[in-house]
Amino acid sequence: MKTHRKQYHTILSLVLRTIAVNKKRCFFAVLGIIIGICAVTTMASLGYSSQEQLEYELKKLGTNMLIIESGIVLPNRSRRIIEVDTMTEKDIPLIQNGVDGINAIAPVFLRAGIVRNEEIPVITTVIATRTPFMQISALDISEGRFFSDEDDNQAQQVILLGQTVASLLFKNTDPIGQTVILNNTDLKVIGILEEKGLDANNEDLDNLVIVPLTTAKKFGILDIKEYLTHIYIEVQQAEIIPKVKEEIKPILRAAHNLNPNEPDDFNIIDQSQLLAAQMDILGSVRNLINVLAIITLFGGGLGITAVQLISIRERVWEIGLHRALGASQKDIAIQFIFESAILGAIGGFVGATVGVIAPLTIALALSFTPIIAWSVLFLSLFISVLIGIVAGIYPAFFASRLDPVVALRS
Amino acid sequence: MKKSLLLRSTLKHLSANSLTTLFMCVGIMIGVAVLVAVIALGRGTEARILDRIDRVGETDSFTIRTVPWGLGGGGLRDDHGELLLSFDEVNSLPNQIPGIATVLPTLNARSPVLVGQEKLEDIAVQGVALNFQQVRNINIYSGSFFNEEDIHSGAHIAVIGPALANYFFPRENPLGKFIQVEGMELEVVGVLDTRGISNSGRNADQIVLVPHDVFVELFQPVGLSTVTVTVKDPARLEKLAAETQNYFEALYPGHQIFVRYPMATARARDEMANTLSFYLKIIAGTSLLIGGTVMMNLTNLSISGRIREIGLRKALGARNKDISGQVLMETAIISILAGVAGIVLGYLFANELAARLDLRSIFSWHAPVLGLFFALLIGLVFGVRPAKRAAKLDPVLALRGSQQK
Repeated sequence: MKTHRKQYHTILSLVLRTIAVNKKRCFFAVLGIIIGICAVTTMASLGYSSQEQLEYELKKLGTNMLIIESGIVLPNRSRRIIEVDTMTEKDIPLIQNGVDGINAIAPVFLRAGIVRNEEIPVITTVIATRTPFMQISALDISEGRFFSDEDDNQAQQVILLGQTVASLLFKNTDPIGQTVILNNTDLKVIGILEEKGLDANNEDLDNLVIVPLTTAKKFGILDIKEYLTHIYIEVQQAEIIPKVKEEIKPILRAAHNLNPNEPDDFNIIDQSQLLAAQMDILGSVRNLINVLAIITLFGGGLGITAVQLISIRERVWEIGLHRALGASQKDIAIQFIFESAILGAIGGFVGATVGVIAPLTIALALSFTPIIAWSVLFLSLFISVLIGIVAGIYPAFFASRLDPVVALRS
Repeated sequence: MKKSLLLRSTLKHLSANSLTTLFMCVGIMIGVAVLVAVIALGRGTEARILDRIDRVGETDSFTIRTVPWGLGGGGLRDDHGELLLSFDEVNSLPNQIPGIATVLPTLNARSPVLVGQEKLEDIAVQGVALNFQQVRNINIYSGSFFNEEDIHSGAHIAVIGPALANYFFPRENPLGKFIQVEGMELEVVGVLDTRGISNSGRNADQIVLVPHDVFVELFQPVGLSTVTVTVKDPARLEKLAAETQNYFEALYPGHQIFVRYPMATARARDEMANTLSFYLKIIAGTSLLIGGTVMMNLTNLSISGRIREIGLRKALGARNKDISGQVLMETAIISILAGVAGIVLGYLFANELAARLDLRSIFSWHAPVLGLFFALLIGLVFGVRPAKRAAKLDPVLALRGSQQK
């Protein structure tokens, strides 16, 4: 036992000396492993960060949005046909408490209406809602402010104008603080929504006005009733939209006292085209990341293997010398395994460290969500070290069996 | 040494030391192939993603009107009685402004639609030209869109949105049935695929499309109400929209022309394009690093295996210049041959992966040129310099073949 330990000690110091002497060769072997691990991990990690960023940008187009329309749905892919009065604000806490993954939910009463100042009437879409609506429909303000919960609770006479309405009513003057009339009610303009342009169907997204729901009810704007025409919902991820849709249905059916043989008196809509596009886009980024990881791992692996093969060739002579000086086959095998393990450990450690730090730093610098692709990190770590060790053991096995004389002659 | 002799000796060396040469070749080939494949797949995916967004968001088109949005159906209500935006002017637009791909004149109105006793109020009716379906990426659910003959014959036909089809013909096939608009009976020849709702809550599936001439017969419009213009490069949408507005305002002094586009989607598209081009840079950088390291490692190792040979040549009378000349020549030949092989390999590999994994690969000249340049550079730095150093060695030392300094 004691001699064994001594023997290992000797071999270890021999290995360390070999590494110190063959600095250049070892440097290249280690560098291959380091670059392999850190480059592949960086590529994959930043891929995931970019994917997250793309998802965030798509979300602004409303991919996480669900809209419940009130109305009887006829069979055969139909849309809201008959207006009904069953959907009310009482449904909102039921949905919020009964379904997981809902970020925000807003009641909406939506009607076409005429908003005017002294001279000009404008036909527009009037939306009476509460504060979460702004977040759900990703509205931004270009001037002024949104209405607050307080404005809503106290039924303040305030209104937000879309760009189209603002420019028709106020031309070049500043609309903030001015008064507009909606159904005989004076409302003060507190904010202008940021321009959104047209949607995919050429509908103007800026031809709308928004008023607090309590205000609309108090002043009877739009002949508003107790029921809602829509409920707007933001879910946490687009992936759960089908699940959320399925969970909402029984809740609303129960709340509206529908018999099993009666059709739904509501219709849940998502932005199906946009959603399909989002799935497709994020899917192809995921595919790309996987493919790139495979290509680079493959390329890097071949590189490391080639380096190892070359260095074996150069070391046949060295092995012959060791054997001639009395080293046993086992000694040489152990020596080579030790060497590969030490180089693999150094390369793996440095590569993994840089592979974690580099993508984090870059992601933070670009204000992307920092993500580390741990699976890719471990896979590349595993592959590099595996190649290192196999490439170390094979020549050790091969060289230790050589006749010292033959080996020395080469 | 003569030039021809140098070349011959180089070639002889390359074939004689086949294993060393092979490793250097493999290194360069893998390096270049990784670079080419990664960049081709990265660019392909970028293009695929942006295409997808353009398709769903119509971010490659803007819309021109003669009255502001929010005030009725464009030219329909132009009370000057002037024919603004004539067909000829609109159709000549691609010749006037480079970058514009197609022009789609559309007429808009809102009208009640009837089938027997059933009636829906305030439905969007559009008079469209033949290229409408293609320009606006319209999918047909059943039946067909208008063909050229339909458009020119003046037949009273319509393509309707799915919401109308379901409302009027809930349990029957709407094709061949008739709807009534402004007192005119229109035969339904097609049903659109569903497009869902817009952010403002409007149902885009409640729409009636009729051929252009039928619309004129129905509503007697004054000039065109809406013109949709598609551009070749969606990244230039905003600029071309402004150019078109200026062009028409110069054409009609004193008139204001209104131009709008899917701003929110275009903005998101820009941001996504930025994200993708940034990631592409990361990909290119990383693959360059990996490819470069592989090339560097193998070049370096294959050179250090040859120090003994350099000593031998020196002992036999070769001058330093001859040796570095030979190594330079060798490196250049290997780099270029292996580099070209790597380009082909990388491109084939990328294509194969793209086909199998529903990705796209785009071949660009940047990657191969960059790869070859890098291969040469690395060959020079890591091949020729050590060779030069070896050439300066005492032949006896070099002959001993030790790499130890």
